[in-house]
Amino acid sequence: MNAIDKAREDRSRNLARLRRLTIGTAAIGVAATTGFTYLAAVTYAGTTTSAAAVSAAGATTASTSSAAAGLFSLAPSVGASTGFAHVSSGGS
Amino acid sequence: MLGTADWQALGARARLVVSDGDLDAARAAAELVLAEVDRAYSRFRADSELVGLNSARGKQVRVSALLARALAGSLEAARATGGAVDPTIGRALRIAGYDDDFDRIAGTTRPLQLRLAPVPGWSVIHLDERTGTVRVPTDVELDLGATGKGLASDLCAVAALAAAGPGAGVLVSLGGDVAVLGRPPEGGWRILMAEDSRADPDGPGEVVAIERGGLATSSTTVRRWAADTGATAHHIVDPRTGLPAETPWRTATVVADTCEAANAASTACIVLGHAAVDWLASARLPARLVAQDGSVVRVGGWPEPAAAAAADTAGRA
Repeated sequence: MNAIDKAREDRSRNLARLRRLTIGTAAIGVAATTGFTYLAAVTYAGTTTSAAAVSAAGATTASTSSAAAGLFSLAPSVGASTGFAHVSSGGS
Repeated sequence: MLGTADWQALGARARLVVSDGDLDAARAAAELVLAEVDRAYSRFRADSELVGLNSARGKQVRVSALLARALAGSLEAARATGGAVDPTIGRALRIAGYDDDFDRIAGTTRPLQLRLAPVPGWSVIHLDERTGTVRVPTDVELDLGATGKGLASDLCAVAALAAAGPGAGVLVSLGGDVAVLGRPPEGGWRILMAEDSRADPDGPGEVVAIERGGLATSSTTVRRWAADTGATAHHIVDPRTGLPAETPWRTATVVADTCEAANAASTACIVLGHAAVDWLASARLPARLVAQDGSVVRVGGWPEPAAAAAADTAGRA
């Protein structure tokens, strides 16, 4: 895959993720240009639940197990690494 | 080029790392988000929307888009975990002693009284997303600890990336609940597994890398306080008992598509105990569980440490 294709794929993935977070495609363009207040204001146009937003990514919401699959679908891969870390994760 | 900013927010250490972007603008955007989150669903400020909702005594209340979104996420997490995480644990948490910002609880010199309060269950919450209204029954108190910090990380990452500029990548961590977005640095975003999220990222330990999504760790060893029974209590309540969960895990770290989901899953692991291993496998979530004796269980493709993997390969060569 060349760099342009990868950039397109990354952008598509990020847009899909933003849709799941903001539950409204209208928020995407808004979020890119304005502050968070607008982002929050457009997230509830009163159309979908977060479960339905996940269904836009391909999962169903017919049952608890499907909802589980929806919320927890598309988990990214994790790689082992060495060297310095950008951040720590532990209890807080 | 990487830029890093650290500050305190929502009772935790906030860290923002920006790759190839405007750090100052990203931080300003993230701080705006955190201020709105605090006003919307902090359980520890009297003027937060959530505290007002918890005091509404069963009335239907119109809430902000942000709080509605947070509530929807918490209810979704409750459904998806079979109730292992549940936003109606607020009263049980308060009665168990977690009724203030943890820094103030940790400074308490005398044991706090440990009481039991039933957890009503998430199905009693009526959220009407069409009208943006919520009804919480009288004597039910909501706490969004299992999903709220993760959601805040995700929303900060969105705002920070938008502000950082084209071609940038961001990592946001709130107390070790990490969201990444945009173009990752070479080798991915590297995260040190630690007992305490305040550990120096340059310290020793297992390091993993992700290029998208979120990673969250739940722990029973950091937020602990003395109860009058002589036992110590921690902040992860089992909704089935209303008491701090009895768990075989010191920490549970999960990677998911969003930090909100990772936050929910890691908390669920503490509550589920040994059953977490099968649950994670069925949900296909990479996870690292550290048992009370320090042994590590890796699930769903969580890698062995890089040095151990390299040594193993060399030994077989």
